[in-house]
This record gives sequence, structure tokens and C-alpha cells, in this order.
Amino acid sequence: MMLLDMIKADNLAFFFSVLTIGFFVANTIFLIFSGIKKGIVLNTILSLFLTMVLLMLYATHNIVIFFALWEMATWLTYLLANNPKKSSKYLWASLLAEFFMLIAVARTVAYGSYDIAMVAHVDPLNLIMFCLPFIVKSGILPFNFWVTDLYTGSDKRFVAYLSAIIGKLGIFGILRVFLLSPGLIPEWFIYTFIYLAGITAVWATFKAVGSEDAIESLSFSSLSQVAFIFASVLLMNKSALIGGLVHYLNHMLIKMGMFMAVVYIWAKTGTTEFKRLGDFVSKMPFSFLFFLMLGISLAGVPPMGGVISKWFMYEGFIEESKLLAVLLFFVAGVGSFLYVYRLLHSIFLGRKKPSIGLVSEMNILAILPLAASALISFLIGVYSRPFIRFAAKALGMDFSEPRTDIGFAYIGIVSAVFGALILFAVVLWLLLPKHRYVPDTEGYTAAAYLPKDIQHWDYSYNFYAPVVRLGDKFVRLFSLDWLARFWKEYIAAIGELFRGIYSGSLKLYGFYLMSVIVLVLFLKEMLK
Amino acid sequence: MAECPTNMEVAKENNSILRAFADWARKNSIWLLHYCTGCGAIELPPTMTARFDMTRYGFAPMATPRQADVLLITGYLSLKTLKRVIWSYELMQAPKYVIGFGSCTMNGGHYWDSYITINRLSDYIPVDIYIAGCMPRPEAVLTGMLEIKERIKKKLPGGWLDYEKRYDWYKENQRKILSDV
Amino acid sequence: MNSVWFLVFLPLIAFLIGISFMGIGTRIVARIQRRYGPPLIQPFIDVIKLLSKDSISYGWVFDMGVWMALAGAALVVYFVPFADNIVLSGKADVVVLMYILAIAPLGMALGTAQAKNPYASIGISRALMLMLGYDLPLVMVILGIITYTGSASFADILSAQQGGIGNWYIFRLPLFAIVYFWVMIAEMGKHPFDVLIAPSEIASGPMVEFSGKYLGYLFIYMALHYYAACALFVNFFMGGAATFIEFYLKMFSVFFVLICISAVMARTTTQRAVYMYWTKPVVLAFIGWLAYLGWRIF
Repeated sequence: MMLLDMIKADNLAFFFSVLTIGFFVANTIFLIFSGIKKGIVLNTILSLFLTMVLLMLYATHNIVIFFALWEMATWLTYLLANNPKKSSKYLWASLLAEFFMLIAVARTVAYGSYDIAMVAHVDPLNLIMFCLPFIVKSGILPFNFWVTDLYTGSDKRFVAYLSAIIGKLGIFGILRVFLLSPGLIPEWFIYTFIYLAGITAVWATFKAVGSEDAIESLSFSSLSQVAFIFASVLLMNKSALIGGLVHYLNHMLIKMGMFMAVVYIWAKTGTTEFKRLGDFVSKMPFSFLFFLMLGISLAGVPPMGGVISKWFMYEGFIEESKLLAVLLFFVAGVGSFLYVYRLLHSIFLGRKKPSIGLVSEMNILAILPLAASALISFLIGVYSRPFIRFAAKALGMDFSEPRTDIGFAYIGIVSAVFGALILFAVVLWLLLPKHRYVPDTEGYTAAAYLPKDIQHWDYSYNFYAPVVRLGDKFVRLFSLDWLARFWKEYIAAIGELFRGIYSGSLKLYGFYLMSVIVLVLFLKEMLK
Repeated sequence: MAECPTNMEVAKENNSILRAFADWARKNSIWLLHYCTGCGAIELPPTMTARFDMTRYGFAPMATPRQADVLLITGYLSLKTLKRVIWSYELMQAPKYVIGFGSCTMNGGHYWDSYITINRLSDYIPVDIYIAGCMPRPEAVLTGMLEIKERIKKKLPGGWLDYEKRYDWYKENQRKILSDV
Repeated sequence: MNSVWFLVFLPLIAFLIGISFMGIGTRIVARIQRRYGPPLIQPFIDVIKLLSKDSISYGWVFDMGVWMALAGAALVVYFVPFADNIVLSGKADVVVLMYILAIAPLGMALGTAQAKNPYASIGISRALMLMLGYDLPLVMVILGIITYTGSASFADILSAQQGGIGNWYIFRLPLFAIVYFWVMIAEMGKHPFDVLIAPSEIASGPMVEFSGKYLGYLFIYMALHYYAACALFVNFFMGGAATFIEFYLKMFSVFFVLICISAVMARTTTQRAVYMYWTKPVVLAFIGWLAYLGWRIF
């Protein structure tokens, strides 16, 4: 097929297409076999359509087709989200940005070419107008006002798609445009948006840390990671680009798997709030194991894959001496530790709650995609060379850096030593006096005698209250709600002004009529 | 609990050198859970702080029963507290000892005819050492604690073994005086 | 000393060093409080006693947690230069170290989560929030040292400090040293930032449900962590050491200052501690960036 040939010929398109198709296949398998029946046919058909649109988007070099497909992707996202009231902000923001993209397309066509590589040649403003939808789609400040509503309001099965593929369309766009127009990108643009992305990452991390809902927490976490990838791709440094693409792959796997587990729990129990969930490890141990592996990868702890991609990205920033940006993204990284722990603690470990009633382990076919994503993420961590080469090939770069070659052996050594130490710890543990297992009614309760009421003896609400209190003003400042409110009030005030003139009272209209007649007569006198 | 919650393996008779090493360690590092039930508790802060300093003998106060070796019952025990003392005792891990402070744990002290306190602590949990007095001065407390060290050194059986052997008898007594355990 | 036996026994040596610090530290605190303290080997006796007691567990995640804590702590020991040995080294030591330091607390946190006790959960949430607080100035200092030296490997950092006592980073980059020392107090969980332990508030926090050999493992983790923190300070700021005695004395001097400061201060709340860590050390580290690195940080 011509489309497949086009994709295979273009390395960047190949990279993104493989990932998108992989995600679609895995997600569909999970949704079909997880026993969620409602609306699955429509969802699958729309997702298939969206995947095909995205494949064509990745392959094309013609700006008019690019624009049309981008617009279609926006509308399909809106349809899949299934919640018109909450997704309206997203739609407005995207459409407004695409309006600017259309202007850029028109100017490029007037300049005389239909190719993406020529967009930057018209003038820098053209490039910025063309790239505006990419920034809006990635949710970078100041275009992050649609994020909260879309992520929390849309259909829960779709949020995985949103955070794994669609949230990152902006990154594909930036890569496509920037790689084809080296040297024509204005410095101030890169500079500003790297720092804006940094602030977005920290803002999103704070929101994730303070959230009380699993899906909301995961969604803001995706926004934070996407901002990180966006900034490293913007930097146009070799290490940062490769790290960004590997992190794209990693993050897609992580979010795919984590959302699978959470959506399954939502389907069985009807809730994703932390205070209603607990102790799912006793019913779903394998899901817990894979979820743990993915969570460790998200927090960036060796030996899972997150460490490789983050390492490359940090190295890129340090090479360019952008230490302040590294600081912002590192804070976002430490915050990720916090919300990953909250997810593990409140959903899987912790005290049993009534919601656990009917839950059982996932169907073997449904758990297969989750297991695959966890294991591939582990593979990226311990044997990352093929993935790095894949990313480098996608960017058209030759990858043979001896400096970072030692880095891989290094991570291998770390994993080997860690494995040996765990073995030692286990052997010693087995040799010491035997332990015994106790049920969870036997906890230390500080003289509150409650073996029968023990299900309330739990801490799962307002988990990180001090940090949330500290970061509250910062979060509210950058949520731009105040700006939206100000804008609304401003327009309302102007409207009030107009109401004053066109107030609908006959007396005032009579006054206008009389004053107009008097004015006309006066002028007739003057001009005589 | 249906069965006695202790691990019999720790209690097995074992004369190897590892066991001797472990016993030496257990003798020299004793962690107390001072369950400050009654007025006897006031004698513990002086014993712990700078003047009488029990940490130089290896004793240290600990926050939870899971981490403690010795349960100090300091004074009279009302029924409400007894229920929780039994719960804390069963949360502790073997090898564990109980020290009864003051006359109230021995024979009721001067609350012997109260309707709400117990008279003999050793009916409900096994007591290893009593420290007489009402209340005992810090020197007496230290002497009692050093007695525990002597008992470990001489390899005398601890109270927890007795609790295991006569578990039903203890439970019967507890059930008689409390309505449920 | 570069033989295989040394590599195998390095965690044991580090454990003994850490235990000796804990013992001497308790004794110093006792003397400050005008009493005799426990014997010098008391923590060692504590660990042996704990490992010989009965213990309970709440599930396989509980067990896995302590394995990860011990293995993670011992793993850190392998990546910190020991006297004149840079044990397992590469070109990006410091960066890998920052990641490895996160494994052991994660293990302990997972174990306590399965204990299901709210005291433990509160303790761990406080510990994580404190970590969020002190990681900001910590990474500023680490980035500053990496950029100043021009490389992230310990071999380069140590060789940049050779050639006399005036070359030590503690004299060349004093602001960084102060900030790092400030952060070290929270990292080791000592007063005034030991809100995560808080014995009378939350019944020793994360350790509330650990008993017997599990608690013993956590003690070993603490001892190894003491060693790692002091050794890192010596390697970053005091030029490493050429012999074992010199190494021990330098680490002990750092630990001594830390103990003296922590023995006389009270505990702060989490919110105040995090707010403090986000303002004062950050300002100091930022001035340090501008002073030592110039304008190239932007």
C-alpha cells in the first residue's frame, strides 16, 4: 500500500507509526477482553479511524493535507472524549490555534511551495504561527486552561489514548517542522518555551500530587512528562532529542499500562477515588507487580527504563548549560516519586475497603498488554541500545557515542550488583529466625481497641496536605482561572456598557430620537 | 485470637554458639515499652534521664509493642486498660518479658477493694519480675531491670513460654473478668 | 586493596563504620545531656538482638520492601569512593548516584504501605514531602559541582581537589558546602528534620509495624545510609582521602558537627521544613551559582 511505503521510507514517520499502531492494538485487546461492554464498538471504530488519520498525518509532507488531518484529529478527539461540556475549552483552544496554522499554510502557498520544509523560509512569524497548534496540543503554559476539564471530564477509557498519543502530537509536529528547517528557528522562541514548559511541568506535578483521584493524578503526570519531552525536543541538542524520543516510547508504555489497570478497577468497582480503594494487591497480585514496575519506571529509578531516557535528556540540558531548566524538570521528577507512591499505596496496598467486593484478577488476555508494556519498559532499562538506535535512526542521526556507550555498561553493572545484593538479602532473611504472616486485623492501634472496625483505620485522604498547602497559590496562579475570570468579567463589563445604551426602555429611545432630530436641525442651521 | 501468637522456634532449646551470641545480645540490649497505666509511671522519666540514666545498661524506650522486648506495667490496671495491655502483649514478639511495677500489680496495692481494678496481674499475663514499692524509686527500678538481665544470663525460661503452655488458662481468666477478648 | 574480596566485603565494612558512628553519636549526645550514654557498640548489639527475635509480616510486598531497602542501601555504598578506591566508576557517577539513592527509601515505603497502619502512612508521606523539599537545593549543589568541575565522574571531582588543603571544595565553594550540609541533616533524618520518625507523635512513623529481623534490616539500612551520606560529603567537599584512617577521621568530623547541631534543636513541622528548604538554601545555592559559575547557567 502506498501509505505503508511512504511510512517505511520516512524514518520519523516509521517511529511514530509503530508506536501508534502498537498502542492501538494493545489498548483494543485490553478493552475487548477486560469485560467492559458499554459503547465498545463505537469506541473501537472511532479509535481505528483516529489511528488511520494519525498514520496519514505522520507520513505526509504536504502542508495542506497536514492541516486537514490535524483538524480531523482534533475533531475526533472531541468526539471520543464524549463530554461536550467539558471538552469545549479544548475544542475552542485547538480551533483558534489551527486558525493561525491555516494562515501560515496560506502564506506558504503564496510563497510558492506546498512542502513543510518551506514553512520556515517565509519568515519566522510564519513558523511560529504554524507551530502554535503544537504548543496548544501539548498543554504548555499559557495554553493549559483546557487540560483539567478535558482530562477529568472525558470518557475514562479514552483518557489513556489522550495521554499516551494525542497529548504528544505536538511533539511530533515540532520534530517534523524543526528537523526540516535547521537554523531558521528564532532563539527567543526556544528560550521562552523551554522555561514555560518547565513551569508547566512543575505546575502539573503539583496538581498531580494534590489530586484525590487516580485518573486525574495520572493525567497531570502525563502533562508533566509531555512538557519535559517538549522542552528537550525544542532544545535541538543531539542527546536531548534522542532522550526525548526514547522517553516518548517509555512514557507511552507506562501510561498505557497504568491506565489499563486503573480503567479495569474503575470498570469493576465504579470508582477511581483514592479514599474508596485499597488493598487490591490481595486480589490482583500480577497487576500490582506490573503496575509497580511501570511506576518505578515513571519515577525514574533504575533498573527500569525511565532512567535511561531521563538521563539523556538531562545530559542534553547540561551540555547546553541550561541549569535552571534542569532544576525545574528535576523538581517535577521528584514530585513524580510522590504521586507514584500515592497510586501504589492507595490503590493496591493499604486497608481493604468495601469497594474491593467483586474484584478479581484480570483476564489473562487483558493482562497481556499490561505485562508486555512492563516488560518492554524493563528491557529499555537493562538493554537499551536497540531502542536508542531506533530513536537515532528516526531522527536521521548516527549514534556511536563512546561516552554514552560506557553509560550502558554502567546501568548493566548497576542492575547486576543490585540483583546480587537482593539475593544476599533474601538468603539472609531465610536463614534468620522464621517469621509468620498475620492478618491485617492485627495492627498497632495505640490502645484504640478496634479489630472489628479496622477498615476505618486508614490514611488515604489528603495525603500530601502540607505540600499542597504550600503550593496552593502557585498552582492557582498558573491554572489561569483568574485570567479566564478576568476576561469574562471584562467582556461582561463591556456588555453592560452596551446594555446601558441599548437598554430597551422607550424613554431612552425617545430621548435618542429627539436628540438625533435636534442635532440634524442644528446642523441644517449651521450649514446654511 | 484462636491460637497463641508466638513462634515456637525462637523458644526451642538450642545450645549452639549462635544462640549464646544471640543471648548475649538480648541481655545487653533491652527495649522497653513502658505502658504507663497508673501512678507508677512517674518514676520512669527520672530513671531514663540524666540522673539515673538507664541507657548505659542498654535499656532504651521504644514507641510500639512490635519493637519492644519488655512490657512495663507501671501501677494499677483498670479493666479498660487491661484489655489493651493484653492486646499490646500479644502484639509483642518473642522473646518478651513483663515487669510488674509497684504493689498494685502484685496484690492490688491500696486499690485492692476497687470494683474496676485488678488485683493479681499474673492471672492475666505472665509476669517475670515484680518491683515492689508504692512507687519504687529509680534505684529500685534499676535493680529490677538488672534482674531481668540476670534472668536472661542464667537462661531462665521467660514468661512468654508460660503464656504459651497455659494459654487456655490465661484466656479463661481474661474472659471471666472482661466480657470479650 | 582492589581485590575481589574487598568488593565483596565493602558493605560489611561500611556497615561497621556506620554502626560505630551511631554508637559514638549516641554517646556524644548523652554527654551533651550530662549523663553517661550507652556503650559504644550498643547499636551493634541492638541489630544482633533484633535479628534474633521473632518477627511478623503482612504479605510479600512487606518482605520485598525490606529486601529492597537493604539492597538499595548497600548498592549506594558501591558507588561512593572509599578512601583511595573509586569502587565502581564511570563517566556519570554522580548522576547515577542521585537515582540510586532513591531505591532504598522506595523499598521501605512499599513495605510500610502494606502494613496498612495509618501511623506508618503519615510517616512515609512526611518523609516523601521532606524529600521533595530538600531535593531542590541538593540538585542545585550537585549541578553546580558538576558544572564547576566540568565532569560528572568522581575521579575528576577528586583529582580537582588534590594538591593541598586549599584546593578542597569546602574552601573553594563554601556556599555549596553549607547548603549541602544543611540538606544532609534532613537526608539522614536527624533533628530538627526528623519529623518522619517523630516517636511520640506518630509512634515512630514508618517503623511502627516492623519487628524482629525486618527492623534489624532497617537498622542496617540506616547505618549504611549514615556511612554513605558522610562519605559523599567527604568526597565532594573534602578531597576524598588517601588512607582509611584519614577517611574515617574526615567522615567522623563531619558527623561530629552534625550531631552537635542536631542534639540541641527541636523538631520542625513538615510544612515549615519544606518551606524553609525551598527558600533559604535555594537562595544561598543560587548566589553560589552566580558567584562560582557565572552567567552561563541560563
